[in-house]
Amino acid sequence: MKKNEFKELLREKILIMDGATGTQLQKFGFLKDVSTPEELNIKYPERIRQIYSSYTASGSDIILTNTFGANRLKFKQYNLVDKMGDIINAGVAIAKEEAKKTNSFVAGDISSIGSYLYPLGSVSFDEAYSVFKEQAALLRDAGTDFIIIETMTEIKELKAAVLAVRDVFDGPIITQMTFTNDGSTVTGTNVLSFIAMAESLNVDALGMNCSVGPAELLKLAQFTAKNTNLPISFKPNAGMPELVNRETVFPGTPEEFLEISLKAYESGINLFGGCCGTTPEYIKLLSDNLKNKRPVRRALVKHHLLSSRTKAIDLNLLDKPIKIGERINPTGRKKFQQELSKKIFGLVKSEARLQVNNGANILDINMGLPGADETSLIIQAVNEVQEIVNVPLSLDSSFPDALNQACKHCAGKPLINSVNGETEKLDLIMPIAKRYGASLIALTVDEQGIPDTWQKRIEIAEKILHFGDKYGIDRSEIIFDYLTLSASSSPEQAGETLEAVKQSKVKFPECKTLLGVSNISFGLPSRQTINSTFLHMALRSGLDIAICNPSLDWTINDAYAKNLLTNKDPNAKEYVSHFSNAVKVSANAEVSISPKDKLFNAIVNGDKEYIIELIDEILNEENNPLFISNELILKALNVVGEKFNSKEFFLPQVIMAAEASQVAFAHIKPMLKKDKSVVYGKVVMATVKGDVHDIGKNIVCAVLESFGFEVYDLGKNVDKEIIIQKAKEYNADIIGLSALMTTTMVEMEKIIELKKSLNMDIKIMVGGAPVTREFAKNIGAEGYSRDAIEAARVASALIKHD
Amino acid sequence: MSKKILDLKIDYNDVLVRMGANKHKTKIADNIKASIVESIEFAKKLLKPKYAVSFAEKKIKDDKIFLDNFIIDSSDVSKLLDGSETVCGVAATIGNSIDDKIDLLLKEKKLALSYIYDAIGSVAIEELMDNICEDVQNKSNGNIKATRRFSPGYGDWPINHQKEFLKWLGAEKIGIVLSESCQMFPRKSVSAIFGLEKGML
Repeated sequence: MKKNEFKELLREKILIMDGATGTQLQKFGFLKDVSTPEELNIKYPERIRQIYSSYTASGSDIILTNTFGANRLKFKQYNLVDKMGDIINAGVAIAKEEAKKTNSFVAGDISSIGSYLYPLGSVSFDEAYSVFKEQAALLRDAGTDFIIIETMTEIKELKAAVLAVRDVFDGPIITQMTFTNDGSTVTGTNVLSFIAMAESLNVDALGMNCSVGPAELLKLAQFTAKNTNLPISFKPNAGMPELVNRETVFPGTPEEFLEISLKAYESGINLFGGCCGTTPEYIKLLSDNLKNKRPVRRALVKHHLLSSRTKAIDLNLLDKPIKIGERINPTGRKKFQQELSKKIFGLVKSEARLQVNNGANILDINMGLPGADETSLIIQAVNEVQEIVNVPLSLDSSFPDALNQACKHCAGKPLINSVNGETEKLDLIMPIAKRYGASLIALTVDEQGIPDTWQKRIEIAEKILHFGDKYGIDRSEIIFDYLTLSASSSPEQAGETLEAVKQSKVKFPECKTLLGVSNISFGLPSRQTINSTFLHMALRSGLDIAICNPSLDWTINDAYAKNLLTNKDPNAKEYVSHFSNAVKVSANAEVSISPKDKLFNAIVNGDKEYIIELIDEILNEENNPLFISNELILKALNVVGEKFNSKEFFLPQVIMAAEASQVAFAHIKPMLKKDKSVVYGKVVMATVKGDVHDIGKNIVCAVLESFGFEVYDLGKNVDKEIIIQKAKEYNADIIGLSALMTTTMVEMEKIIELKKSLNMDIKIMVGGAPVTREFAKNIGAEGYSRDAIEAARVASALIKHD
Repeated sequence: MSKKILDLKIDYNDVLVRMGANKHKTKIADNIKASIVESIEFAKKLLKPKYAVSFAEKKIKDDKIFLDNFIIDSSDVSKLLDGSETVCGVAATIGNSIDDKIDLLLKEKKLALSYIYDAIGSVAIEELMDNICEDVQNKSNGNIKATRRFSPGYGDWPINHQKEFLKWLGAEKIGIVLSESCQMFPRKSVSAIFGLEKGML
């Protein structure tokens, strides 16, 4: 079916989808003898045919194919990958045969791959995309009428799925997420963020299924109806299931389900069906009451959404100026550049927090660092920033590839910063904005540079809109930047800029306007006075959005500055004479701390960023790595240990100190090794056979390493033979063993016995949640420790005893 | 499943206590505070709480407790359930996404963060268990009080009874599986039994 036919059809009438598949299969015992429901399609096709026909007989206009989890990642677990094509083909073919009998449609069903995408999980975006693409292509080839992406819980996975389906399938796409009681998906996406994402990805219908139960889902559907113009689907479950005495119980009834569906109809919902726990009886009721009815018309929604994973903002509703925080940008900032060149994102994150706290509605992310791989930097910055703040992003780069990747990894609908009136640029950037449904900042410059009159800038804006039309970008998604020039060098230009903003609002009322305001004050004293005054003037001309530092004072509206900006103050004479006396805020003179103290403090505070520089600085003064090791690092660690024992520090601080010390030792060990008198103990560490949880052991490893030990971490669930063999191979002084369970700690005794039987001269120390000092003694371990700090002490003592 | 039960708040102070912080003595640097608060918010996105409950009338034969076909041979459990006619068993999990995140952090050598997430997961599963018990108690019209919870591996209730216990609860339906050494997966899963005592409030 074509997209516009689907649109027409839904304008005319309500369509009834099907009810539950999974819970029906369970009820009839149909899942016996298959590893996954989709396998029925080829193994017991009559069973799935029975489910399909039970729904067409009850009046379903659309049946969903039994291909919910028919993707490569899930099928790998069941060794079904090589049968995937057959399973999808058969699933669609049987559905089509049944649908034909009642003139119904078949929707190819796609759901989650079962693992989260990075950074929630470890699956990469590209991998998820290719898994979905494969499934969608198979559904397309089997001849499905629509594709439905349902029961999604994670917005980035939804993005990957829709893009993949769109890239191989021309027909209508319906997409549904599943929500919890607080109106968001389990991963925190609320309904408006979902709408923003789905609309930006240009789906043909959106909706919700399963979730919290029909009554709660109704509220979300009604909210949706007020916030989108797209057709909406509503497919609740029969109430929240409870697992009581080994049986799954759905508390809902068909009558209640119908009552709620009728209310949803009144709010303008277009597609109805049921999820878990619903049966043909539910669908029959829906069909008897709603089938072929004309949908209730909804009020037209005019919004301009941008979104993140957990928040969507409507630019049409926000107070002006909408503030885009400009501070995540390394240009002209040495420390920022240093960090980024080492792939450290500390400043990126602290700037993100600060700007959001100070009222930024959107954060601009610019990773333009000469000589660095901007694409990989911006991908990581997008992930890091989205982990800690929830405002939408403005993705700022002059490289199309960086913009493309940043858009892809953005968990929401972003803003692209920017395109301009150059034909080549338009042809490169506009397809990216179109693909991701991003809003687009457009600078009114072209091949000839910055025009000096407002008329020429408006002409460029017209050209940009023309290209936007060509690429199918909604005009309201384009935001014009009419360019701020420095008032000291071009005093007449402020007026041109403001006039361009004003004219733009008249000529292209659907397009928002934007200015990066700080440039106006370049070369002048008291810059914020001019910036803020300029912003006030621009707002009066109709400006919508300012790129600025939200942490500064934007209430200033100064007469001298206004005089200057209206070109009534030649050479800024009056302004400068008035403000040149303004006290310059000098940076606090840094209290001078010696590099040795700095290193000591950095270890204690677990701050690893500048360890290497500090060590090099100290070595430059005095080439004595042994001093650094014994007098700085180890003494700092002793302080950490004391603080831990007095409970001033808790474990995360110990770990961070250990990590900082590891960095230090990694740097100076090669120098220390030249000094033959320095010997560090070797420890082989392992979590015993049967135990697969090893955070505790990892912490001990880190702390031991931080004290200079050479640690060989064998990992978790390690055979005793391997532990012994590796200890010999590395010529270790100590074997450190960890166990988490009473069932596995017996393994420690076996290792000690094995060691004794081989007459090995090696000490064994043990620890872990169930392990006690007494147990350690009884099994003949030479050492026991309660925590990581004690482990370092015990290990040192064991070695000295040698 | 009732929705309030699944709505986990994860208290910041509980997470600190879980990591061994002392309310009066521990001085936590601002960057670590921020990191814990952000981790809690992020971890909430990874929670997929589910639970299974089973109820049975307690029967005693030869000093053993019979709950349908499930038998408990433990004097500690007998003592716990002494005043209860009805017994409730619970298995609960917050799902494996938090395990995956912890493993990912370990792989990225972010040890302190992985430890923080681990503590958050532990607080979350305990909160879930608290919610479930409270709900069971609330549904029983007010004159019933739940005893303290007890799990296989505590006291003289052998941990290798976990397998039969989980079977009685139907825990595989919420995705809990057991390793040979009786570790539950997802890692942040808990099973426990408690009695319902009459007229204790």
